[in-house]
Amino acid sequence: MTKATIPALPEDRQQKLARSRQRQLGKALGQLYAAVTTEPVPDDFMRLLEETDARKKPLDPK
Amino acid sequence: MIALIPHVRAYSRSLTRMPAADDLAQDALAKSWKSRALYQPGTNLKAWVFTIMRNAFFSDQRRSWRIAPLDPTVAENTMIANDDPTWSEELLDVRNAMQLLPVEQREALILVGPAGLSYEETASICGCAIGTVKSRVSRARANLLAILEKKSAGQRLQSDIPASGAFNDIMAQADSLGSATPRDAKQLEGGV
Repeated sequence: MTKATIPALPEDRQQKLARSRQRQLGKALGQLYAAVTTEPVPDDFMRLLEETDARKKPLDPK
Repeated sequence: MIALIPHVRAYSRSLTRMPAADDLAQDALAKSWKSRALYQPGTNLKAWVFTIMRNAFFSDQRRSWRIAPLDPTVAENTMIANDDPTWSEELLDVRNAMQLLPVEQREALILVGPAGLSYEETASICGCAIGTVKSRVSRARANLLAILEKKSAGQRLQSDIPASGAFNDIMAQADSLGSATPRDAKQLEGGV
């Protein structure tokens, strides 16, 4: 039984398609990252830094 | 340091999942703040904090012998629910596909991509050569695209099986993906 073959896309078309996919991927990764960086920072984080700073101060000569 | 919190949280999520990611980010920020006298002014503060967090993460990983690495097949079946209704299906697919990558590839892609760090800074954070970072990024991209292609081809096969020329087209794509599977699987298993 012979296997049906599909003609491959021309090389320039393939490269264009690959570049387009890479762009889409980069855009999606940027959106995923931005989704976290634009989230409101939980209060825990600020409280933690304040507590860490307060604990450190007595040891700091300044 | 406060301005870095969102970025530290974003990087921590490329290393592990919530809520552990926020615990990791908090620990890293606290350690960085306590050690701030060691920071060299003029160097990249973000890269410095990221290095502290990465070291803490892998140090914990080595200690946590009870936590088995996430099996990709298990991960595929326990994908994260959509917690943001505005996200497109494509975006969710990318996020879920990211979870299937080895952590070294995932973090390299995030650091040199949206985190905006150079290959040199990323290599310094990851404790490896610049060439290794480039290789990880390249493999991460290729693996992500392969995962997304496979999912896309699978969906088309499930939802649209016409007795037309389109079916032959789909089969050809599935065939080509199938022939690429051993190499892709090796890359996914072997990491870098």
